[in-house]
Amino acid sequence: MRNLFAIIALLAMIAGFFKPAQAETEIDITQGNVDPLPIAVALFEGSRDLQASYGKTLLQVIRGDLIRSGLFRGLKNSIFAEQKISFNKSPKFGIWRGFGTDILIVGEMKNITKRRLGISFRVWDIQARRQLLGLQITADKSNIRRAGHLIADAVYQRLTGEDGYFDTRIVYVEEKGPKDLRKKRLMIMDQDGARKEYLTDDSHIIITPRFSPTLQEITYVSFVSKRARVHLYNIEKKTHEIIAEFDSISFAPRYAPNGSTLVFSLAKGGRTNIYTMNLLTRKIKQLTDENSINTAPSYSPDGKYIAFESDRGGKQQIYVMRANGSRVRRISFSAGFYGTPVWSPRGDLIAFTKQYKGRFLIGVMRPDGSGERILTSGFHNEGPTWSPNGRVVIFYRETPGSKGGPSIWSVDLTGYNERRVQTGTFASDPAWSPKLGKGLPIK
Amino acid sequence: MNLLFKNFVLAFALIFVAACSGNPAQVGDAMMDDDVMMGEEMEMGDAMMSDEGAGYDVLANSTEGEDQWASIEIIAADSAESASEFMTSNGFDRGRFDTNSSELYWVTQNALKAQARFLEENPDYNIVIEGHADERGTDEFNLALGERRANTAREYLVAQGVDPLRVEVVSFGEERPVETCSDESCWSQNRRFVTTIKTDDDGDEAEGDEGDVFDF
Repeated sequence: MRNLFAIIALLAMIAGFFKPAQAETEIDITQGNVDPLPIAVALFEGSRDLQASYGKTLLQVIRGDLIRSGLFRGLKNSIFAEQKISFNKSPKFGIWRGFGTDILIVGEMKNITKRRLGISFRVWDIQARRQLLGLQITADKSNIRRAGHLIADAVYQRLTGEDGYFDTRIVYVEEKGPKDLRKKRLMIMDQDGARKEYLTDDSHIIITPRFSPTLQEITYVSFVSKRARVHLYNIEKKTHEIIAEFDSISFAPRYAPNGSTLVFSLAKGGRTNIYTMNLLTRKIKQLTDENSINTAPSYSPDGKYIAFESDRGGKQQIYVMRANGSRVRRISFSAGFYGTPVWSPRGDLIAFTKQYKGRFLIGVMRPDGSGERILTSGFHNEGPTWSPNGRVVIFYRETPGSKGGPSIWSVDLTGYNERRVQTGTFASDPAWSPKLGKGLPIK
Repeated sequence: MNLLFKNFVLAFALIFVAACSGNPAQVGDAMMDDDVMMGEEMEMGDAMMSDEGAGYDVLANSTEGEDQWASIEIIAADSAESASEFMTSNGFDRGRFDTNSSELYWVTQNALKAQARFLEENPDYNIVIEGHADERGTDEFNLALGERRANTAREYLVAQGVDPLRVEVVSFGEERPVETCSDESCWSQNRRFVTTIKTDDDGDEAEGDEGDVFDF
């Protein structure tokens, strides 16, 4: 009897080793409540020097990006630190399954020149027992973090079918000092919080910076001689200019998808209307002409429409009009005050700030106003902005009281994975850059 | 006689403010309610904001028909600083507003009348009216609302005979509150316009901005 038992057990074990290959791991990020996939990222192979200088950074960047996306959860390195990993051999799938891993990323580094590092990496699907992706890249040693982001984007893209968003930067307003005399300055950083750089000093109030789609510029509003004015900042030349001398305040600037038109608001005589300026010719066109407040304009990604906020009907609501100012339609109809509409780069949704019953909510709706969903709610949330793949929204959140202040948060389109973006100081008005490059070529 | 006067001023203000805010229905409701004048509780659609006792410090007890500044002696100031000081210490340099509103309270109209008399007595000085909003709103809308408020004050001054070229309008939106707590007692004070004497190097906190050329 015991022998029979043993034989059956042995047969079962043998059968286990010859299980047919499972379907490849895939992540659907449109559904809520995604169960994060356990992922292991190994320290890339290479000389001790390379591992110390670059390997650690790559590990931190790749692991950090993927886990912060909410789609993955990391395994403690200590669990597999003892494992011998050979880049050119397939891993011992059974053992990695035993660790609870679904995805394993391995790599190796080689010195190419003084300035350049060769990085090869593989992405293994432990369940399906096969390689999902293998690439070789050449990276600039002076910006290894960027190589890490590109790799993380490639992994994200391979597993979700969606474009990644890790190779991007965020511009925002750093705030210091007491609430009634805030010192503000423009700051730019990688989306993971690294490589922070000041773009201005704090001698003027600064608000609402936005990236140009062509990446060369940022537009923002600064109060010079008490008057709010729209400015442009050239990222390469590090120069600032105002777009024009108006005898009224100008604010709420955004770029059209072609990068050469700016849309903004002018407030004069108690009326605020929307205008565009051709940045090449500097010609200005008026799009709305109302006895009300019309502001916070945002283009659709195809450049054909503009969503904006208006109180022409009595209280702030969201409207959509053609890019030439015609065919204005209201799209928000539920109870509450709606503002700061921002069109997703995917074109399918418009994010907004809503005030309702004393609370501030960030939500999304379709461009026809249907399908309203709230992503977060609280004392004060404001100013949503989209990741370039239209999957993540960052916004800022204020805490109440004299000692309170703003901080930047991110949340998925699904409403899950709400996280604080670490800036080290009070921070507000975040804006996401487009992807810094095309990304790595994956099939 | 008192009633006639009151109705006349109300009607005048009604027409005036209706022209500014572009929403007659809302204005009508607000202006007819005496309680609103004194800054007491008012419902604003979905955003219920109470304004309990947060009206003007000095002037909360005045009744309409009474112009607190009607009998003060307007001085001819010898400097921008003393001009500023005079307006501020006498309390007619500013006015407050209800949530989302740019309508002038009765007492604010009186303050602006005093400003108009001051400007007549001091032709060498011009003014900048700064509009402000409380933190309960979005950046862009609050900038626009601040401008609307400052502009309402400006138009009232112009109606009093002040040369429009002497009055500049700017807005700080929610950027420069005077009170920092997060409840109505502070918010009501932040919803304001403030009239300042225009100086040559008018900058916000910085020293001397010269027009549009600046370095970072």
